[in-house]
Amino acid sequence: MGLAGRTLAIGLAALVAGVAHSWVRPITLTVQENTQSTAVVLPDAQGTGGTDEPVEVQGEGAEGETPAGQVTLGVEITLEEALALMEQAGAPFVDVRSDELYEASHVLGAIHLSPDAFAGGTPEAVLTDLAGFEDAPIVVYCTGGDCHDSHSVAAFLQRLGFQEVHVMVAGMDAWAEAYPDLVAAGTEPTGSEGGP
Amino acid sequence: MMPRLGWVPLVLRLVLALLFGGAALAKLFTANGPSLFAQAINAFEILPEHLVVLATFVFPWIELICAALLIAGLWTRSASLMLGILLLAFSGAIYSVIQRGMSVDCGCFGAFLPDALAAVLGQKTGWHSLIRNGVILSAILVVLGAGPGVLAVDNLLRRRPERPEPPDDSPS
Repeated sequence: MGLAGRTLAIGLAALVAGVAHSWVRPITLTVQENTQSTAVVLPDAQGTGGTDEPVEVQGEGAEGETPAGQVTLGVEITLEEALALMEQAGAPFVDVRSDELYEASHVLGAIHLSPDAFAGGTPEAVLTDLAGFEDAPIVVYCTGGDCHDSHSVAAFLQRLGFQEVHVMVAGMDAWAEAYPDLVAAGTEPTGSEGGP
Repeated sequence: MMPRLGWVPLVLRLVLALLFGGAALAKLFTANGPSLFAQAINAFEILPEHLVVLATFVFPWIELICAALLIAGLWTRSASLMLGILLLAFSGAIYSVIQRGMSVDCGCFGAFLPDALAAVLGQKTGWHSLIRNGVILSAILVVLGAGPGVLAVDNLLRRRPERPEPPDDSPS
């Protein structure tokens, strides 16, 4: 067998091993629909009969208008929906950007959790800061635009058993522009008692 | 054909095996290694999703098999050629990302590299990634040209068997 034949053989062996490995250990790339969703009242619906109390809606990927003027949220949410989750449901925010960007500015009270933190298993921040939020809404964000990290971390959190993970797709830059009063810098205290 | 370089190919073989083998193990067998590598490939926005999943496992297996072959010095040139092709493919993907003005994680070494070294080599894709790949490709080309060097199974396989003595059929 010549050089080309042996090289082809290596490629075929890797293909067989890779296919078998992917079958044994399947992975999902995309964030799944949440198994539950919290309903919130958006600013333009305030005063039209809705209440400020969040209502938990059970069901697969429930999204849309509820009779009380409340809106149930999908996985990807807007800035306004994220703000409503913060104010009405006390949802924790998870910043998945780099250390430098996080320390420069982040959503007020946000926890820092980069995708690399998952390399060695479950990160410490999940066990401390997010403990007790398994059945509560969580908002994940990165810079926005091309950034995929918020979807990556959201998928990891779902795999760890968090039932309602939302991705604020507009990202930190848009948040800082829309809500400059809800931006902090430096590091947030970690290891606080979790729970909604 | 390059001249034989003594111990140089052996050293390069072992360095390449450590680099690619360590990266492959981190991508394949750490807690969230496959998921992180899949997200890294997906962020390049080159392959469709079903091919991303396939590439997530096939690429590291190529690296792992080639690393094992390089350590043993078996099929050395073929393993080097395969790694060279893989590295060129990675470099092409990185170049495409640079051209599109994207800033994505390289995912090149999984969580294999210590933080300090990762900071030097850079986790984000950029021109430095292509320069780094060029250095690695140079080492691959040396092994591809010079062969396995000393302490290699290829040398044992290449050794020609001694000629059997012709039967003594001369008339006595």
